[in-house]
Amino acid sequence: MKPHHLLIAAALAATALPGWALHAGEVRIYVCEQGSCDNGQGAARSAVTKVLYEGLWRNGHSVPGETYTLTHPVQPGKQYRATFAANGLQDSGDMVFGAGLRGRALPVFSGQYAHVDHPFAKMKVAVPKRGQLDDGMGMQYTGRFEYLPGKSTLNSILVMGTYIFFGTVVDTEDGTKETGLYIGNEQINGMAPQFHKANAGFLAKLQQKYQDDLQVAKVVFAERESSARWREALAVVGKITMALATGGASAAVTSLAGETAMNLVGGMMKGDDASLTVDDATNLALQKAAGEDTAAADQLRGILKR
Amino acid sequence: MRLTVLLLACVSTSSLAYQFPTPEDPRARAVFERTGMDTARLDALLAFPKPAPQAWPCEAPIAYLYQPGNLVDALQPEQIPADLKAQMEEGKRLMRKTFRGNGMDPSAAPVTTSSDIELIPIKAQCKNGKLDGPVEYFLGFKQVMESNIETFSTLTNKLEKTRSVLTTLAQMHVTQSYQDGKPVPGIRSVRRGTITNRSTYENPAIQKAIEDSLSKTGSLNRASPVKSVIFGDDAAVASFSLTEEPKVTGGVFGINTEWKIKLHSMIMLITPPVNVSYMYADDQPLSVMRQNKETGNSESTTYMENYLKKLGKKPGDTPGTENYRAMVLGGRDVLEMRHCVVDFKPAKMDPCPVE
Repeated sequence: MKPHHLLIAAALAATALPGWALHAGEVRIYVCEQGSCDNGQGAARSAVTKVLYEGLWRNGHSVPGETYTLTHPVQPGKQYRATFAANGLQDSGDMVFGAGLRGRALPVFSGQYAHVDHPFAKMKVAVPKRGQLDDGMGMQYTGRFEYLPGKSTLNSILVMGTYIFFGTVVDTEDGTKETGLYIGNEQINGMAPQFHKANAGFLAKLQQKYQDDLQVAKVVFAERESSARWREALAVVGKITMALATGGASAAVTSLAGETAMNLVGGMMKGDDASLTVDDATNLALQKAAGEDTAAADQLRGILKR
Repeated sequence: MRLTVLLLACVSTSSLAYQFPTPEDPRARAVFERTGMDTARLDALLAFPKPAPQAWPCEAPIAYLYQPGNLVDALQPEQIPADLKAQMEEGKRLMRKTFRGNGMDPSAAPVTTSSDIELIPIKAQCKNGKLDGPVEYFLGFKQVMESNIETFSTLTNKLEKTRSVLTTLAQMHVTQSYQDGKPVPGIRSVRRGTITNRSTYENPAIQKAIEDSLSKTGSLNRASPVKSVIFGDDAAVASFSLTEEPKVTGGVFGINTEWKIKLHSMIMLITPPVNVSYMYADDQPLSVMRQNKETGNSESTTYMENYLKKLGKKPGDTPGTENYRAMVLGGRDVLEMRHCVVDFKPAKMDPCPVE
């Protein structure tokens, strides 16, 4: 194990995105503890779930079709197996939910997986689809799982969502068996769903909330995109100002630069350039300002490229 | 003796008027009025004297007499009547079920041990050699509730053990009716005492950090006074509890802790199959719960100060707040939380099947 990897991972354990893609070379999430996690046999531990993945690595990534052995420090004697698809997302075997453990119980899912789009995290995640979840405390959920991406992701750097389950629940301690609909709480991926008995009325509310959340997300993403565009545009304006301040530009170029900067800001204010990249919007602003003066326009382009 | 002096000192210093609630539900208001509760009455009830030891006029049904103090665990199995034994077993089963239903390891459930029990009759009479009619008695005891919790630490990659010990010293004055040696509905139970919480962490660094933090606020090993009065019959239960809550402020010379007395009141209407409980913190509503005693299903609505508003956030903005509702209650900004329980386990049902 490389000590600096451990330090980085420990510092980022609470902040790293627990993406499901198995990329052992991603030191923000994985710490290589044994062998080679770049090319060859090695063991990498997730800083978020603390699951240790042991197997073959190629360019720091999992190898499609290869089987990996999974272990967790709370149950050191137990081993689990998993395979990963070409995109690095789990596609078969066991998913060990190692985040947020409250005792010795280690929840594990075994079965088939779905790769779903997470609209709030803007990434794909691997989630249980069909199989059995054993919560480690005597409850076994066997059936069909659905995953509802969570809006809380917008305000967090962790990926969150809610699991919905329909199937049979066996309480091995009480010896009872029930079939029905269950819903978990919204929580970070990597943490086992804690299912609660549910009904259609609650599901309908959850679905409505999800639709509302998608609308909120649209606004949030639009605001973030707009904010990012403004930052980029103001950086262009700043670049023009700095270049001109250092001197050497002709009066014509100086005038053109000011006109271009204001065209860019004005276009963005009115939303005329909303469909353009900031680079294209800058070019358009420059063309409008330069008119026939191609020489000044070329000089200003040169300044902007520096 | 030391305990008695401490307790009497606490009682005698209590001079502020407590803020009693005014229940909106006329049935709950009637129960509250029946108790005749106000600051003077509550203080007077809590100032009961410890009686001189004397013998019971006939054989004392100890298990039933211990029940108001939850002291039955101190008895040998052969001293416990079958109905109480069954109740205790059911209680343990439900505790495990509730722990598992909440995703917690049931082995972490607390274990209670009672000792130093004093049972002294004040007023008692017998019929056919068994307690019968109104009975008054004193109970004094020590109770230790211990839980051992294992938490997985992401820093050390191992399970860290924590031992939590809650020590209660209490004195009670119980008034209850008996018939043929068994209690019948109708009880008034007055209790005063202290609670001390002590946690021991396996990790010495954590132990030191927690102790340093508690020392700063004067909370380390502090024996917090706890007092309560409970009235109950087959139609309603009313309880009034006084606890101390710290108000910590930072000053030029360090951290100041002021201990404020808080009154928690509860009125439960026993209306089978569904009981309704109203809870208040001082004069403000805290929660309303409807509970079906036959099915174990319940729905509670809890109100808490809207801390999200202070942070400029709305319900759902931060994880775990998705099901909160922001509202104004009695002029206060509060968050409303609904909690549905089916068969003693949390459920996500709308409507919650209580009836």
